[in-house]
Formats: sequence, C-alpha cells, structure tokens
Amino acid sequence: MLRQQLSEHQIRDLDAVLEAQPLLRLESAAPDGYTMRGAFVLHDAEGARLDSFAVELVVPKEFPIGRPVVRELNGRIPRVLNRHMFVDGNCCIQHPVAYYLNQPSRLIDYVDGPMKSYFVAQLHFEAFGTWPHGELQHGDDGLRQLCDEKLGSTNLALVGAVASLVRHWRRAKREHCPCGSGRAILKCHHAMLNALRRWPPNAVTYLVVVANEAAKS
Amino acid sequence: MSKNNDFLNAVVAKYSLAEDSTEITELREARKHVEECLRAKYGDAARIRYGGSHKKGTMVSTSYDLDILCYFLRDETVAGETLKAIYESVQATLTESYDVRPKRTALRLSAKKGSDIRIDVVPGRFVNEDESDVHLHQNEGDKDYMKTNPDVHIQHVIDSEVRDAIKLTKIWRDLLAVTAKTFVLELLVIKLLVDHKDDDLEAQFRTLLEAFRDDSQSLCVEDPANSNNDLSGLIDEMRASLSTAATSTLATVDAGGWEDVFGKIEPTSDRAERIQSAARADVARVQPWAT
Repeated sequence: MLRQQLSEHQIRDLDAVLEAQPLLRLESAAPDGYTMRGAFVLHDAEGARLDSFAVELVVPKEFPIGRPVVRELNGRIPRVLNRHMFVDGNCCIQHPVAYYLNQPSRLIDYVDGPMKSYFVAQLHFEAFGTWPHGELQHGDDGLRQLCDEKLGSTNLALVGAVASLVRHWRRAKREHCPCGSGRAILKCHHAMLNALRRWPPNAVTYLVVVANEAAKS
Repeated sequence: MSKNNDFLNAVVAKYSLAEDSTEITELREARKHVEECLRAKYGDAARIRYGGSHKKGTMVSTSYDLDILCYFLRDETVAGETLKAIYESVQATLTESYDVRPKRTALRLSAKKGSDIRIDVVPGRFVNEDESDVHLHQNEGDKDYMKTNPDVHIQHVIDSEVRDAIKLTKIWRDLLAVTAKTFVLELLVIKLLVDHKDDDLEAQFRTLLEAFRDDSQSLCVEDPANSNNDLSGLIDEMRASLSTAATSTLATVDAGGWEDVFGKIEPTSDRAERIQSAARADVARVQPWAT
C-alpha cells in the first residue's frame, strides 16, 4: 500500500536500494517523500559482511536536488559534533557543496556512495580514532577548508563573488576581479572562475548562497 | 541442539548485560542521583520502586535503560492533586537537574545539554491503600490517564518462560530499527509463544517472525494488569513495520543464514584490517562535516 503512494521513478530508486540492502525497508510514504528504515549493512573489500548500523533514510520528493537525510537510530555513534552527529541522531555525512559537486542521479548511488562512505568512516574512527579520508571542520570553517582544497582560497566573500559570475563568465572575465586588485579577472582570479565553470550548476548555486552568508557573518 | 539455535542463543548472550557490567554500574550511579533529586523534593512521600526490563530480566545492550517508578499514596498531595499535576510536578523537579523529555507516561532524562542518561521516571498515584494498582497520567491516546500494575507486568514476563525469546526479539527490533514499543512487543511475544514454550529458541523466533509476516493485521494483546487498557492503537502503529521487517529477515535468513541478520558473534581477528581495506576500497571518500 505504501508503494502505491510513490512515483515510478521513486519505486525504481527504492527497489534498487532494497536489492543492495535487503534489511532496509520502506517505512512510510507521503507527498513530500518517503522514509526507509532498517539495518544498513557494510561489507569489506572482499564483499563479506563487516558490520551494520540501524538507520533511517528520509528521501525527499525533490531528490536528488533535495538532499536525503540519514539518521543513526541506536545511539551507537556518540551524538557529538566531533563524530559528525547531531544530538537527534542526524548524520552530517558531507557538506552540501560536496553533495552537489557529486550530485547522485539515483538513490543507490547515494546509498552506495556517500552514505556507505560515512558509515565505513565511523567504523574506522571506532577502530583507530581517525577519519580515513579526513574530515571537514565544523560550520563555516569546513566551507573554507573545502574551498581551499577545490579553489585555492579560504576567502568566502571572494569565492561567493566569483561563483556568482559563472553564469556570465564570458562577459565577466573581462570585468574587474572581485578581489579588489583592480585587474581584470582574466589576469587575476581567472583560474578560480575556470574551476567553478566546470562545477555542476547546483553546486555553484549553493556555493554562492552559503559563501555569501558566511562572509557576512 | 542445532547450530542455528546455538547461534541465536549466542546472540542473546552477546547482547545481555551482566549485573557487574560497566553499563549497569553507570546506570545505578545515575539512578542514585535521580532518586536523591526526588527525595530532596518529596521526602518519603515519593514511593520509589524499580521496574522495566531490568526487573523483568529482559534487558539487552541494544536499548537498555532503568525505570524509576515514582508513586504517591492516594491521598498524598505534596506533588499535586491530579495525575497531571503530579506528572508536571515531577517533571519540574527533575528539570532543575536534567533535560527532561516527556513520553507517553514517563519522563526521559538526559544530562543538561548532554547525552541521554537512559533513565525513565514514571510518576503516578496508587489507586488505593494496598499500593498495588496505580493510575498514571497519559500524554497520548484517547484518555489522559491509565490504570495499571507494574508488579503484574513484571511477574507476567517472569512467569512466561520465554524471556530469551523476548530478548532476542528486542535485539532484532533494535538492529533492524523496527517500530515496536517494548511493553507491547513483550506481550505479543508471550502470547504468540504460549503453546511453544518447549520449542528451542530458533523455532520460537521463527514462529514469531512468521506471525509478524503473515498475521500482522490480526495481532492483538491484552494488558494483563488491566483488560480495559486499549492497546490497539499501539499495536496498529507497529503492524506494518513488524510485517515488512519480518519478511525481509526471513528472506535474508533463508538465503544466507542468521549471521546475515545479526552479524558474527565475535569480531574476526582481522577486523581492523578489514575495516582499513573497506576504507581503501571506498570510492566516495566523503569528509564528514557538522554545521
């Protein structure tokens, strides 16, 4: 009965996940999305069962533009920011900009990708006290860190300003660079503009918003 | 005894908590502080007892807590004159020292701006002088109060002879995130196994899963302490979750065995290496972040 409330596309997404994760199940469905719950099983590199977490996966109707929300339900992961967990069990899997940089087209790509990666990282932290692929700092510092890695700058005002020019890049590259150097972008932060041009549009749009907000605060 | 039965018994043993375990020791310490708060406010007017899974012998490490029953005599008004007033008085008293989350009849405690301390306090008032039946304030449901008897519940579970099956079902519920309140789940297990007490644990658990899968719409139980308590709403919330979880569990077991559901009993000696290999094989390589 719950499945009848889902679109064909949602059912395809759901079934692909259920085939890969048979201990997950459809728990509820509503006009604004659906929720899966169950044991999320992790496997080692040979495909043997490694461990599992009791999870809830809330998939919004607008997925993949709307980001899924994942919760760990049993309190196995301490509810502290340093474990990238909220008090209510919501998992801070990745920065939204990172999500849009690699925006999944199917739910199984998210589940087998970032979601699995996050829980493997939690297992790694349990065993060794370290994050296998590093971690982003909390809050806006994490955004600065991400921008430093991807764009070579921690100046969020600059990043936001350059990102907002991406849509009009042909005209923009001859304009004065937003950094205030007085030079044209072509001779200044052109590399950043070019890098951002290669980003998926959703990632650029999100970056403009969050970078400008962070720069103001 | 079959290998499967041995495995399921080992699962129960793995997730059972010994009396001298760190978890129980810490819980007792936390409970002592909660009692001190209540005594400081109400003195001997608060009749404090213990209940829940610890008293029943069905506590499991996947979802453990201690229940403190804080009852007042029928004519005692130090905490208020109505059940709601008593509930709110106890809530206010505990709020001075803890973050308090109201539940249906209980108050769940967390440290101030901190983590869950796994203690439920259940305020109530004895119905009469024999201090057996109690009235509890209810925050949900059709009525704003219920009558019950914790000693009857405790004895009902102890006398059931299926406490291992209850524990295994709770472990299954927690590992698979099944929506099922403990109180009702225990009663369901006892009722469904009334003619299967002599079966081994695997046979009992299969009986339960098949009932959840095939008969979820007809599941019903009665409160042994008060047949007038309507539990149908609580069971209605659980039916779909029990059914789909049982379906996937039985399919998984038939395809690969119980280990595919519960995992290995002991970590393999190469667990650390396997975790590292899983991390190396990870393609997404996310960097977790918190706002």
